[in-house]
Amino acid sequence: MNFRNISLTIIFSSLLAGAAPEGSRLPYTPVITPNGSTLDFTMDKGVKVFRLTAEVIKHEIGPGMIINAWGYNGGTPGPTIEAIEGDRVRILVTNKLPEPTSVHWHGMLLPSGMDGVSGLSQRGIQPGETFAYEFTLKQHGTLMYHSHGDEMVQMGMGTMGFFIIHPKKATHKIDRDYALFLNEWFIPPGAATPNPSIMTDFNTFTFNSKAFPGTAPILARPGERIRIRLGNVGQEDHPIHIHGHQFKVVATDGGDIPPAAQYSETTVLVAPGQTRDFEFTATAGDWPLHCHRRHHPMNAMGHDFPNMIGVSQDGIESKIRDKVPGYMAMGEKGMDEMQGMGMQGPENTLPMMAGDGPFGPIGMGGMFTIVKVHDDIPKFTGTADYNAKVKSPDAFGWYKNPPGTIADTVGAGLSPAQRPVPDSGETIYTCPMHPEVKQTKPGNCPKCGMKLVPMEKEKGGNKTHEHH
Amino acid sequence: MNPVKFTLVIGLMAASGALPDDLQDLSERGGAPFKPMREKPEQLQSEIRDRLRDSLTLDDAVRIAAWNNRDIQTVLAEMTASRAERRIGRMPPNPTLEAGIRFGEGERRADYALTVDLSDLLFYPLKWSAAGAIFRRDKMKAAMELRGLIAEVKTSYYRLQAQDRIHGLLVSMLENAQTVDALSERQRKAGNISSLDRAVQEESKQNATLALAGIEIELLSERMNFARLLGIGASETPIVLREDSLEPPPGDPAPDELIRLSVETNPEMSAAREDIFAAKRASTLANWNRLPSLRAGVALEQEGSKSFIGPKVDLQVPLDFGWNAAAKAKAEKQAAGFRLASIQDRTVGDIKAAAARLSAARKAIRYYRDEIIPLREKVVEETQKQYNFMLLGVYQLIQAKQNEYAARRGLIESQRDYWLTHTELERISGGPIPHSATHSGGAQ
Ligand SMILES: [Cu+2]
Repeated sequence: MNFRNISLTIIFSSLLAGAAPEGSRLPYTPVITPNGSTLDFTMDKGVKVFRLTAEVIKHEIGPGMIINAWGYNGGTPGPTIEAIEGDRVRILVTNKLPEPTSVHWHGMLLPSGMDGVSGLSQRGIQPGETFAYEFTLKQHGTLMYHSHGDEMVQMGMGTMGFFIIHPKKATHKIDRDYALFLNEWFIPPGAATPNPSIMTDFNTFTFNSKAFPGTAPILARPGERIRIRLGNVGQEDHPIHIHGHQFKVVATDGGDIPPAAQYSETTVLVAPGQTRDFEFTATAGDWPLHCHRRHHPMNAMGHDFPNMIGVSQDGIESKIRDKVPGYMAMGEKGMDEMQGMGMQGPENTLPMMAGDGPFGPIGMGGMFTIVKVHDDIPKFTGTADYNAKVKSPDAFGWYKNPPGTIADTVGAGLSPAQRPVPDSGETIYTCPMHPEVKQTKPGNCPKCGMKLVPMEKEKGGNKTHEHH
Repeated sequence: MNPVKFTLVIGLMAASGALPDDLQDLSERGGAPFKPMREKPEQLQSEIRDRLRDSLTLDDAVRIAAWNNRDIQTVLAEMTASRAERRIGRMPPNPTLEAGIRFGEGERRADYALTVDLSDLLFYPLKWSAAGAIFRRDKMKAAMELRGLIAEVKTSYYRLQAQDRIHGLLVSMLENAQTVDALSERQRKAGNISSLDRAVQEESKQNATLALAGIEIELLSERMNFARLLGIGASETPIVLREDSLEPPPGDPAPDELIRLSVETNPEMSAAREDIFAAKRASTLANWNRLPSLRAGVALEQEGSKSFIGPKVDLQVPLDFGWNAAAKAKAEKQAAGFRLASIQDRTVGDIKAAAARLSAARKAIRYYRDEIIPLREKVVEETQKQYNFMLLGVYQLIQAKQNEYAARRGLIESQRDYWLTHTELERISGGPIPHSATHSGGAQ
């Protein structure tokens, strides 16, 4: 099921139920969960009633890569629950998983019997059963919920979500409020089911269960006050870093940090079990937001891939190709050349590096997204509205840099992509493996013997991308 | 005579002129076409050289061996001797002429007698018939030797075919190992791997080199064996084999049919039957001929002017009346019967065992061709895809290819085993396995 459909259904059903829809009538800035959804509620004698169904789902973790995950209400992470401090909430949890489950309200101050730990605080919710959790929200902040029955498996398969409690009265105005759930998975290349028993060697890292280039952007206008909430119930800690800004961590899962204790920084470490909220004022541009562990903003790669840096394969590559015709030498000058070669990988597997920017391949993956601060970004009334307006990860195009503010070769006012290519009418042939080889006639590469291909002619200005 | 054999014989006669009846029969039973004896050696050698100019087929190889193999020539010469032996055995008994003259007292006496051994004469038809049987037995034994020699030629041919292909695979495997070696040497020079990793990679090249050297020695000695079987000296034109498909025919011969065929055509069994025939004749002879020698004839005596004429009998006084000879002949007849039974038992057992091996080889071929090789190809293909995404390295990719080559070697070896067993079966069952004797057996 598509999460947009879920959200539309929820909006429709909440209108019928007479509950408050997302947006202006709310006493808080609604949280946007990119690539996710927000859970709606109905009122029952002053109690906000939410419904969660734990179930087996198909989830697109990156472009074209579908995994067999477990989640809530058709998605991973599950829908974000939003409420206000002092609310009485009832959460009806139905178990459609093949084994018992329970839901733990992570960081919540509540009666012990509502803590959601199978065996300890309650009996497990058997498949087919629906349990009611009910408590009063005594705090505010970014909290989480996740399975606490066979939790290694169930969380490893994706059963987690945000539980955000807004204060009764906000201390200051926030223009946009985003939530990103950090997680890591092990999905064998060519397979579809995450292996939850893996302890250290994860190969897929996600924001809201999406790996770049599948991650939806964080959108803002210049000068707006932005909050980003990070949550982690995974196995690893993630130093989350933003470019072009300084931020202050304003809250943890324990509540607000007094302003006197806040300090500016550019990276915040989020350990398993923690949440961190940070705030900053948006500066115009396209800015990466990513985990700073080198393998985390990257998709699967073989960690025993032989190190070929500085190892020329001249004369060897053709010998291997005699035996294995599709072989191409890789790694001599680093791994950058892997991108854009268009080689076929195993089924249902994201390439290690992907994504295209205005100036060429971005070459990232995993826990990487782009904070786009453009003048033309619209307001969003909530996650559903965001999902309706942000159709693809590269929505709203690219930042238009003022003239003279793009790095380039000395003296060049224009970027290589913007520089017009003189059209001599001749076709230039190049090697897909060795771009330095260029000639005006077709033929084979003198380095590796591969057939040369005609170069794509570039027009002046930004490169056009036709592959979406 | 089945149509295949018939065609073969007709073809032979057309190709090389009519053979003497006996040789033609031998040619057929020996499973190879012989050149007539009268053919001049120079002509034969030039014809063989002509054939060697092209790449050889199995038929070519068998043909050249039949014309040129030293052992086959020996067998053929022995057949000529055996034929003379038969003529000797079939000569009727010679009459004896005795003459004597004596002088005394002015007179002259002369005796003349013409006798013939009566028992020889009486039993001449029996001896005539036994001599024929002995010749036929010798011919079958010759045919058996020829079959053995032809089987050796075929065996060597199939071995060479397989070794040649395995050699090609091992060359490719060594090339891959050399590539791995060169690449790891460059990695070492670039400072990317330890000398330990380097040494491990180098060892795989040494192993591949040894494996190739092993097959090269086998190939060389098999080539020499093959040249010897074809009667060609080492200095002659090098023999090049045509690359024939080693795929088995659609079906395998049914063991029962082969057993029936062997009863009809196996020369060893035919020879044993001729032995029994000859022993029966010998036994009959021994039973009837109880006198050592009985000569009868006419004697003429002249004394002066007087002549006397009358019959003459010359009898060896027997101390035994041929009891011992009869007992010996009877025992020999029995022995010949047991020999045939033993040959039959052995042949039936051998055919069943070889047919089972043939069927096993066919299964192995199918397993390699339809299961293992496609699987190993798939592993290469998938490893390639993972290599493309830097999930697996070049060494794993090359190792996957090496494993595919190893599977291809397995296929060639099982194909070779099939044809070696097929040749063996042909030799035991005593004739080329006719298509009518094949059944699909559901194994294809
Ligand atoms: Cu990380």
